[in-house]
Amino acid sequence: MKHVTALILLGCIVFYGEANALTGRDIAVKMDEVDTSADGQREATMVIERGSQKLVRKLRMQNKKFGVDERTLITFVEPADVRDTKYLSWVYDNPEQDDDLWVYFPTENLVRRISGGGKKGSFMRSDFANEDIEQRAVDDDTHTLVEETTEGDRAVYVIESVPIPIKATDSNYAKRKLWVDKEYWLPVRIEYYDRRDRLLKTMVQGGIENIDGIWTATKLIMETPRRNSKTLMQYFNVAYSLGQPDDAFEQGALKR
Amino acid sequence: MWRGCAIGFGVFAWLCIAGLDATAQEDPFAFDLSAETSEERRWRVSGFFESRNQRFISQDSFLSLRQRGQLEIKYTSHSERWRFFTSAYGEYDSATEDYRSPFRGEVLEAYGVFDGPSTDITLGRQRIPWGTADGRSTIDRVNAVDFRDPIGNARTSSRRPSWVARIEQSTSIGVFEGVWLPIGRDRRIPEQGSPWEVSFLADLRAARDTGAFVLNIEDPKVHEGGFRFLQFGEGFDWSVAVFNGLSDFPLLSLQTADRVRLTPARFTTVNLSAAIGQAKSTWRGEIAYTPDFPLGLGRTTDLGQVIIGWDRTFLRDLYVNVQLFLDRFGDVDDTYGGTFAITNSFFDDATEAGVRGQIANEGQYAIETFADYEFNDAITLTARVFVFGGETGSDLGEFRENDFAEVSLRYAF
Repeated sequence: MKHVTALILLGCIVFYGEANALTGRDIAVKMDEVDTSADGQREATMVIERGSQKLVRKLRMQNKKFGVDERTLITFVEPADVRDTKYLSWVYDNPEQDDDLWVYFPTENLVRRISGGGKKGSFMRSDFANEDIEQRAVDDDTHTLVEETTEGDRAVYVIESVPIPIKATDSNYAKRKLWVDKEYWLPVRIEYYDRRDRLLKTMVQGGIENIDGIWTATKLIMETPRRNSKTLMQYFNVAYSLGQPDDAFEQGALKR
Repeated sequence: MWRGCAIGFGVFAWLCIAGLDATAQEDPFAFDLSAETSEERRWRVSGFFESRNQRFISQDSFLSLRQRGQLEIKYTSHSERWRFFTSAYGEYDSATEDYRSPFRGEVLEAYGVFDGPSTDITLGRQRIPWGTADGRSTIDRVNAVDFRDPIGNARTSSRRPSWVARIEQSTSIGVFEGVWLPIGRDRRIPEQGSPWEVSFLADLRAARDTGAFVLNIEDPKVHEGGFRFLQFGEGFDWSVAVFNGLSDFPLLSLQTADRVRLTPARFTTVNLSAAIGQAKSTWRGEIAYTPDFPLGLGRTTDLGQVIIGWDRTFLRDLYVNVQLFLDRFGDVDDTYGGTFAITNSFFDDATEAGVRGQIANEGQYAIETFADYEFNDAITLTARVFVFGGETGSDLGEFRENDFAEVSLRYAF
C-alpha cells in the first residue's frame, strides 16, 4: 500500500511539474506581456562603430496599441541630412495582413506610402535591420524551448524562434535564438542565424530598469562580426501610458 | 638565464590571464551615449555647402559650375502649436555668365504653420507636392517647374516654391485640404542663350532681335488654387483633387504681323489618385481630366491622363520603380511612355547607385546613371551621367545636345 501511495505521489509530482513546464510559445507570450502600457515614447541614440568610422544617429520613437495591433511613429533627429524624416507604421497582429508604412520627407514636404519589402534593409546604416526595430507579433514565429541555463549570473530560458512560412520571405533570418531572463521576461541576448544556420549578428541587452512598472532594457549592442561592425543604442526619457491621442499616429502627424 | 626567462614568461602569462579576466568582468553596458548628440532646441539651424559641377559630354564646356551655400532655420514654439521655417541660398556659377548672372541668391521657402487639434493652417512660400505617382504626376500643379534649371533627376523636374495660404482639416472620414495662391505660381522660363532654352522660344527671341516683331512675354500675377480630399487607410490611400491655374510655360496667345505675345493660359485639372500596398509591392495610379487644355493661339482640346506605377524592394535594398503614362488629347497626337528607377546600396550602405529615367514616344528619353557615396554623415560625393534623346521638336529631344557628366560634393551641417 505504501508503494502504491508513493507511486501516486510521484506521478502527481511529475504531472504537476509537466503542467507547469513552459513551452517556447508561453515564454514568447510572457515576453510580449512585459509591456503592459497602452502607449509609450522614448528617445534613442545610436553610435555605429564600423572600422575607423563612427556614425551617430538620434531618433524619437512613439508607439500606441490599437487593440491587438500597434502603431509606431519614428522621427529622425540626427544626422542633419535626414532630420525630421518620419516613418509611420501600422503593424497588425494578424500575420496574413500586410503592415502599412508611410514615410515623410521634409525637404519635399511629401507623405508617401511605401511597401514593407524594405524590412531586410539596414536601419539608418546601423547593424540593426528595419525588421529588428519593429515589434514582432508572437505568432509571427514558432518558438521552441531549448534549455534553461544561466547567462552571466542571470537564470534564463533559451528559445529558438523560427519565422512562420508567410513571414520567412520578409526576414533576413531563418532563426533567432533568444536568452530570456526568467525574472524580467526580457531577452538579454539574441543570436540571428541565416538559412545556412550561420551566425549573422548578436545582440545583447542591458541597463534594465523598472520604468513606470515596466521592465525596460535601456542599452543594446548589436554586433555583425563579418562586417567588423558594432552598433550601440541607448534609450533616454522612456515613458509609458502617456495617453497620446490616436491622431498622433495618423498621416497628418507626419508633417508636424 | 633560463630561470629568469621562465619567471618572466610566468609573469607575462599571469598578466595575460589577469587581463583576460578583467576583460571578462568588464560591463559591456558601461557606455553612456548621452553626450553623443546635441540637445533639441526650439531654434534649429542647418544647411549645406555644395559644389555641383556639370560638364557637357559632346561639347568642350561646362553646363554648370554651381557653388552653393544654403541655410535653413526652423523654429518650433514651446506649445508645438506654431512652427516657422525658412531656407535661403547664395550661389556662384561661372558657367552661366553668358546668359545669367553668375551671382545669385534668394529665399526659397519661408512659411509659418499653425498645428491645431484638427486644423492646420500654413501661410508663406512653400513646396507642396500633390499626386501619388512618382516622377510624373498629373496633379502636381501647386509649384511651377523651374525651366531655367529644370532637371531634378531623370524622372522629375525641379520645382519653385509658391506663395500659398493652405488649410488642412482632419475629420473622421479623411483630410480636406485647400490651397490658394494669391499671386499664382512662381514661373521661370529659360534665359536667352541658355542650354535649356527650347527651340520655339529661341526662334521667337532671335526673330525679335532682328526687329521682325515685338515680343511680349507675360507672367500675370493672378490667383490660382485647388482643393483636395485624402483618405488614408489599411492597405489603401486615395485622394480626389481639383486645381485651377495657369500653365507653367507661356503659350502663343496673340500674333499679328508686328507683335507676338506669349502668356500662360488658365485651365482646370480634376484628378483621382490611389496608392495600394500589396504584400511587398506598392501600386500607384492616377486618372486626370482637363477640359479645354490650352494648345496656344486660342486652340484647346480635352486631355485625359492615366498613370499606373509599381514599386518594390527586392532582396535587401534593391529598389525597382516602374511607371507607365498616357496623355490622350482630343485633337493632337497622344503622348505615352514610362519612367523607371532601379537603385541598390553597396559598401555597408555608404553608396547608393542606380539608373533612372523616362522614355516616351518620338524616341524621347532621359536617362541618368548615378552613384552617391557618403564619406560620413556630413559629406556626400555624387557622380552621374545624364543623357537625352528624341526627335527634333519633342520635349526631351530639345535637349539632346545637353548630355552631361556631373561630380558634386556636399557638406551638410
